[in-house]
Amino acid sequence: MEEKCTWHDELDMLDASLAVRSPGPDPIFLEHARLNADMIATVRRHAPNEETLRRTLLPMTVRDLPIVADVSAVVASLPAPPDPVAFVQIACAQQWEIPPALRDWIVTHLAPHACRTVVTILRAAEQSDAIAARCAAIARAPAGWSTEEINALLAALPKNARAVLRSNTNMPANAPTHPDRQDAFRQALNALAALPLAAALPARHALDAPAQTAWRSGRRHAGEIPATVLRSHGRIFADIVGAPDDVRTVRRSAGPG
Amino acid sequence: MSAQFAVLPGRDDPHVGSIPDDLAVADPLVAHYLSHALHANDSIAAYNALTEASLEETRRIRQFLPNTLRQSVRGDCDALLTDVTAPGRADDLAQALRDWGTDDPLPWLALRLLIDDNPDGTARA
Repeated sequence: MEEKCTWHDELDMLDASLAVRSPGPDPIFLEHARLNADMIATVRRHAPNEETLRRTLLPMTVRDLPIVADVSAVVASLPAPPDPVAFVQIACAQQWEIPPALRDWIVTHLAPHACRTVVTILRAAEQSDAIAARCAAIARAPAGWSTEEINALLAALPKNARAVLRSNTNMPANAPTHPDRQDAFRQALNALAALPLAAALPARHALDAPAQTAWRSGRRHAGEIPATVLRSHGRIFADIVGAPDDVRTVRRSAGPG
Repeated sequence: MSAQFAVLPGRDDPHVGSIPDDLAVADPLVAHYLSHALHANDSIAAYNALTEASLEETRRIRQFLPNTLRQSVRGDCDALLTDVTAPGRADDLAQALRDWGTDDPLPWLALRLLIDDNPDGTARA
C-alpha cells in the first residue's frame, strides 16, 4: 500500500516525543516528529552514545531544510547512514510509504549518493517547496548516475511521486485533439524524452506545474517555469504549449505592422 | 486562467496574436513575458520581456509594445536619473541620453537594471 492511512498519520508532530519515549526512535514516528528539545531529550534517552544520537537526528534536520538550500549537497556531505532506507523515510517520506522496489534501489547503491538522490527527488515530489526550487533540485538529481540507474529509480518511486514528477512519457490528458497538432505534440514529447535527464526531468515537472496550481496568481507565476526550464529547447516548448487547435491556423509569422 | 494560458497566454487575443510564432521557439521566456504584457497590459511583464531578451532582440521586442507600455516600462525619467547619478549630475546624464537618442530603450533599461535588486540585472546593466 503506497498511501498511508494509519493512526500515526494523525500524530501531532509536537507530541511525537511521547510516542518515541517508550518504543524508541522508530522511523515511523520520527518521520512525523518535529525536531525540538523534547524530541532530542527523548532520543538521547534511547541512544547508547552521542554518535547514535546524531545519526538519529540528522535525517530530521535534513527534512526541515528547504530544498532551495540544496538538500542534495547537504545529504551528500553527511557520513553514510547505517540504515539508508530509514534515513530516507525520516528525511522525506511523510506522504508515502517507501515501496519495496525503492527500498531495493536504495540498498543496492552507495549510501550517501543514493540517499542524496532519493531524498532530493521525493522532497521535490512533496511539492512543499517553490516550483522553481523543485525544478532546480530535480535538474541536479541525476548527476553521477547513468540513465538506466535513474530510470530504475523513477520506476521504483511511489505512484503518486511518479505522477507529480510526470516521469512517464505517456500522452497527457490535455493533449491537443487535432491530428496535425497531435503529431507535433507527440514528436515534441519524444524530443523531450530524448533530452538529457537533467533537462527532461525538470521540464516534465514544470510543464505540469501550472495545472497543479489552484490560485490564479500562483498559476500565472507557475506558467513562467516551463518557459524558463525549456528556454534552450524552444521548438519543444512551442510544440507542447503552442496554440490550441482552432487558432493555430490564424497565427502570423510576420513582425509588427 | 487555464494552465496553457498561464504558460503562453492569449493566443487568440488580437493583441497577443501580433507576436510571431518563431519568438516562442527562439526564446520561450521572452515570449511568455511578452504575451502576458500584451494580453493584460502588464508593465512588469513588459519590463521582464525587455530585460530577458538578448541585446539584439530588445529593440524588436519593444516594437510589439504599445506606447502606453513603453512609457510604463521607462517610468519616471527624472526620478530614475536622480536615483542612478551622483548628487547634482542628473542633468549631465539627461543630456547624454538626449544625445544618444531618446527613443532608444537600451540606455533606460540599463539604468533601471542598475538599481534593480537582482544582481543578475545589475551585471547585465
